[in-house]
Amino acid sequence: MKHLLSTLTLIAGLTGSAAIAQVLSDETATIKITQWVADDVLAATEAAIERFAEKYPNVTIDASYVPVGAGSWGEYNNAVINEVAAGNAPDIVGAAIEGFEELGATGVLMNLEQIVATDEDAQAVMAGIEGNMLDGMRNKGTGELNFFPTQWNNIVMFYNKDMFDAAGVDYPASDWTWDDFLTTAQALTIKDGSGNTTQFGYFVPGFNFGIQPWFFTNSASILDEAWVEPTVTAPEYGESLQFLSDLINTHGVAPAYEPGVGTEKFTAGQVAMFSAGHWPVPSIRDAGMENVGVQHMPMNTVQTTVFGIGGLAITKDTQNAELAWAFLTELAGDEYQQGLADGGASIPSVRAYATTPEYVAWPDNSEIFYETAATALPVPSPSNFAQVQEISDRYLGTFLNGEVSLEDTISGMDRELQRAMARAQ
Amino acid sequence: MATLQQREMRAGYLFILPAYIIYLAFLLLPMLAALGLSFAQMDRISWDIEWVGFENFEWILSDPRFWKTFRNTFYFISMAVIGNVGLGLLIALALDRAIPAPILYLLRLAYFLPVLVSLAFVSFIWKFLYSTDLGVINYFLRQVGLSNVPWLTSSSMAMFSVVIMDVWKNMGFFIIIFLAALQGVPRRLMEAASIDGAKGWTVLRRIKIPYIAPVILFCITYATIGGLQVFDSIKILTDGGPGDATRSVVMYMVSEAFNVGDLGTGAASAMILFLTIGIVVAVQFGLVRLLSFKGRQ
Amino acid sequence: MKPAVLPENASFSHRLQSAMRVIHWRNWVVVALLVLGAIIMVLPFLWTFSTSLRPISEAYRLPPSFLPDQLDFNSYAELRDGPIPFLGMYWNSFLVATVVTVSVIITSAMAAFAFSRLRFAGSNILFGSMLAGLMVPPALVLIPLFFGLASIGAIDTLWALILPALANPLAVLMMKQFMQSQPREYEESAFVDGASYWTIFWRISLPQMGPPIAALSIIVFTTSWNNFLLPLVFIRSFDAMTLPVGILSLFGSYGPEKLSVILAAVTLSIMPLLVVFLIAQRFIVESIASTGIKK
Repeated sequence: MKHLLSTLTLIAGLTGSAAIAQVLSDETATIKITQWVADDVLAATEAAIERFAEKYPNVTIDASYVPVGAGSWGEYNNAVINEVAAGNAPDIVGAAIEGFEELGATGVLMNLEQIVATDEDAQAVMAGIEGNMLDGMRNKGTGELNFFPTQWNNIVMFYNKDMFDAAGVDYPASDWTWDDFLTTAQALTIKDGSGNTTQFGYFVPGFNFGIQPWFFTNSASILDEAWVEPTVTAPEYGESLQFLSDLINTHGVAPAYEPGVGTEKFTAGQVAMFSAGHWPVPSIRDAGMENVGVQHMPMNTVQTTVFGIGGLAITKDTQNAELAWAFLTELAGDEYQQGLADGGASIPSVRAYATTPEYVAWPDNSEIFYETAATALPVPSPSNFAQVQEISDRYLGTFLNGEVSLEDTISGMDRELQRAMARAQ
Repeated sequence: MATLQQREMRAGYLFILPAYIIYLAFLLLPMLAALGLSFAQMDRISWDIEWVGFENFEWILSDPRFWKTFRNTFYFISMAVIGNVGLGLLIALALDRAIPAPILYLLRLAYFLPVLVSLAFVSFIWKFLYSTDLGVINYFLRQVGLSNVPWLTSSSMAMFSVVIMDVWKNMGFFIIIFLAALQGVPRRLMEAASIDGAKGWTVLRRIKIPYIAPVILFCITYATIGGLQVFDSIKILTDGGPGDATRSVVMYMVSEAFNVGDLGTGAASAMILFLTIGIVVAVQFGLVRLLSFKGRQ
Repeated sequence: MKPAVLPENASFSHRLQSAMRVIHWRNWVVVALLVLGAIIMVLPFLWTFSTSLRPISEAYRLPPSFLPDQLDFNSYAELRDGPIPFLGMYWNSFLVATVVTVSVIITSAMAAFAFSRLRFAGSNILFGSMLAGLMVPPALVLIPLFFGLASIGAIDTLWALILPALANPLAVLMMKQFMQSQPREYEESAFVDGASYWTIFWRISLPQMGPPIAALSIIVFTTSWNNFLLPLVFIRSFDAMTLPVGILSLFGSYGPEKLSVILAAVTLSIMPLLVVFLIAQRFIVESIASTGIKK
């Protein structure tokens, strides 16, 4: 009943509100928002707080940031749930798609559908977003729209043009295949006199998000489309695993598997190619590397990649639904999108901001970032994401270092995933 | 008028009151709560509790992963205790001689420095040092012609690497303790022995070691209890990997409770750990009683 | 090898010669090995410090440096100016560690006084029960503590870090052992003179406890400063965060891209502990001597 009331008040308050930058309310309140630690998130939030303070001078925004550590969204989800469990639930929660199901399933998040329906500006924002990505925002279990989209990221292939030039290798074409990729990586792996490798062709992604394209481009995945049934026993899945393992253990074009993205290996000149989204761009730029290009991930059966989208949600128990929504739209609106584009770490969800000439100027071929939005697949994010990620990480670790056979890895993963998914129902 | 005895009793209780209340509130009660929780299932969000008897224990004890972490932890202890206490003793014995004071000061500082630093920090550092293809240690190994050692990426090496870091970190603590104990050996005994013509080895065996035997036992027990609870270093170095090769019991417990969200199972695995610690400590004390009893005979 | 007794005004070279004569050749070998070992112990720290002085993008380049080959203080500037309130966390760590240390010393000294000097029913049982606390893994009590602290609203505040740390059976043990080895005459004569228990404790017993107080100060302060698990689980917001978890935040959401900044933070975090140790290290040796041997 309380929740219904707050939602109604919110809608009532919105119909007929004009978005002008002047003091809109004298209310005194505190809004708590929890997000993850990232330079762009911090910068954007600070900027949004300043803009918000002009319109609502007596509202304090209490922002907290949770360290995520090498893309471990499972742990971030946990941190948020712990906050709720401790009775400290924030008013606004930021999350990536890996947390939408998990956090949505807790039942503490508001359904933003009706609110969005009455807010014209919010609708305009959503209209500027690729439809394929918007589909990923809705909760598969309840059908609710718990999160309002803010930014997104995908995985592309970064390559060091100087190294390509030095080896006399052509830059990758947009439809290059796994075989093309292997040949390229081999040409870019350099050994010194005593047989030690001084330059590797590729860094196999040591993080859940980064490794998904290698399955998707082979029409495989860890779970089915509905994110309920494990599908690791499909031959295509094993094929992908074997290909990655061969890169490290047979062809020697990649260093030993270790957790991490590999950005620092790229900027230190130790690998010629690595897979990441848009987020390392500031670091690469700061490292002084100029000749860098990006390209679609190599395909085997289909050209696609993975995408993850970030969003903001409001908790049902919030005491200040109107103000929370006002801050949320401030945080997700036009200035924020522009801030994202300027910062360069995430991709603005609104197409217009991700396709400006400045944005696509560097690295080379940056148009492909938003191009992939139409065909990318969301990273599998069931309601027990933390557990699924942990199982996946563990088995990949022992397979890619050559210790466990493919059959054992697949059967072990299948067994544990079946158990975990059953437990989650 | 209260009697002297009553006054003393009242003072006694009052003096231990602050420490004991805190102990009750923040150690004893949570322990009992954990005991209770291990027989239940609790939902994190709603705080609903449901009693399930021994179900949690059955789940854990039938989970091969739990036994793996158990084995890992014992494997860790066997190497770490020998490394820490053994090396610590050796170095303390080496340091217990007439060395010019400034050098002794610097040496003590160097060996104790790792103890001071946060385990979390040194784990970060060692992670970079250990990186297989791109790390510092292997870089130098390659320079001298050896090949890369898969410090953290091989299941068989990983735990060993963790132990190396653990010994590097904690050895200094035991060195200081042994040094202090050795300095307490009465000089008269040593002088008497040297007058009798005893050489270094004999002095060591017959005088020093027996004298500090209780300290050695204390160190072994302390190191064992600490080792059974290892978490921070492994979490950061390998996160239990590759696979489950370095996963400790506490890591399993934290993962169950906070990752899976199954608080009852987490508490149950913690209870099992507690019982294990109790048994191990009891066994060690029992052994000591046995040995010292025989010694007296 | 007894050291020769030198006259008071012996010259420096005379003393040096005498000292060197004392050191047998076998000692030299041992000392050399010890020094080698000490260098190995210290190498990781040298690497940390030198790498923190490299430009941010260079941090990972091999060959690594053990002595600073560049003096780029950008990493330190980034800590000061960056979005993560590093200085605030420094202060939090310091505040928590100090409060905990002082409280633990006072409460454990009081308890030790009672256990070693006073007779009261059940003192042995009470002491034994406290010792049992030594065997309790912090991980065991983590979950109930979380809910307990949550129910009093202490989660995400510094209290969540202070309160659980006040329960320290090791401190009580060390204090009691030391006190028991001290002579009772002063206290007893004061008692005969009619002083209250508190006066005896405060004026006579406590001042004698120099060594264990110093030792415990280092141990408790360092443990609190370096505590990682508790802040990780109990603290969310930057305001209440302490250094170890704060440094984790420096990793950003995608890994250690800015290695030299992280290492700069680590270097700075070590400094206070170094200072504390250098000042009080002699007390540790004295104090542990008295507790260790008694066992």
